[in-house]
Amino acid sequence: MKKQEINLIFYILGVIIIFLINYFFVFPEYNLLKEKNKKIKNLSTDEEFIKNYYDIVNKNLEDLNNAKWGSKKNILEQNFDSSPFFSSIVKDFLRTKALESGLIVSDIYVSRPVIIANSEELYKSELIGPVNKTRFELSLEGNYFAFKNFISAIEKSSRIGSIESISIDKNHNSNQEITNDLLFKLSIDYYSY
Amino acid sequence: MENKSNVIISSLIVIILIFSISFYLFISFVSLPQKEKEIEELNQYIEKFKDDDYENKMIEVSNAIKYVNDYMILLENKKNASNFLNFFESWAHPGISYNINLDFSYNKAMARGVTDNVVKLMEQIAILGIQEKIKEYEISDVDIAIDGKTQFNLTFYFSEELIK
Repeated sequence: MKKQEINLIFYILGVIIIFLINYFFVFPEYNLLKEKNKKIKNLSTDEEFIKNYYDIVNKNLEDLNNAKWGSKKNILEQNFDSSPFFSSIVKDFLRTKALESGLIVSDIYVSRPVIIANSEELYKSELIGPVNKTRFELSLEGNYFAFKNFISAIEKSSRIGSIESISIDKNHNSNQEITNDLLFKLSIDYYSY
Repeated sequence: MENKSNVIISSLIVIILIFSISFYLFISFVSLPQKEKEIEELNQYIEKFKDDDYENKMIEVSNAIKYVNDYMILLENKKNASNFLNFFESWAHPGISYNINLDFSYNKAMARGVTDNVVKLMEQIAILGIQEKIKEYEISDVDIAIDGKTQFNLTFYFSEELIK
């Protein structure tokens, strides 16, 4: 065999070895490295996002604590009661306020809750929570000043109630004392989640 | 001349071979472990947030946002009946007794007035005419008895700002 042919065989073998090393070892490792770099890039983006998000959460919590959120939370929460006792709680609240104002409660009728999102209220799109409104219709007896006190008391209460209608009529029941000379019918909407 | 080119080709093959092996060793034993470590550190950093009660903190904040927003919206949109009653007292004639129905959804009031004297109704109409917060009113079904006792219906629409 000529020396030139032997050299050629060595060259071809060399090239084959280089190809095999690259194909079976270098390229797979290189691809793995590229994958890891991609993963690091994604995790870094996540890290940045999470860090910013939690910074905002912490800042909001700090602001809430500075604003004494703990005590205010209970006041706000009572407006979005979602317990099965909601109607009873509000009825009790209305009876107490009426009594304190000097009115007699003849009757309280509670309507079915209406989901505000399905109602025609103009502000419905501004609400975040699933707010329902329940109408309470009250029949009351008493005098005008007691009634005004009652209205004022429920308007000033932290439990938000929106008075939708009022009817004031003479009390024709002759057995009533002069101080309970009027009959009132009142519709108030209260809210829950 | 032929020997020289053989040496060049052989050297080139050896250099490429050494480079490939070095590159492989570098990636396998330096780069990849380094990247693994970096990934582990990033994962640990992200996990740390999950451990730190952040789930509850986020719920607390989102509830607060929900409560405050909804409370403010409902507060802004609730009707203030006291304002209307004060307004009504400011122009209702003291000599006329009213039964009244108020519908705050339509800003509408319907009243049945009773007075002993038609002049008081005239005075009431004059006062009504100058009320800026009453958009329109209508007096109907006026009934004047022989003794002067006058009954009438009063329907009026009031300005929305009155119950804000």
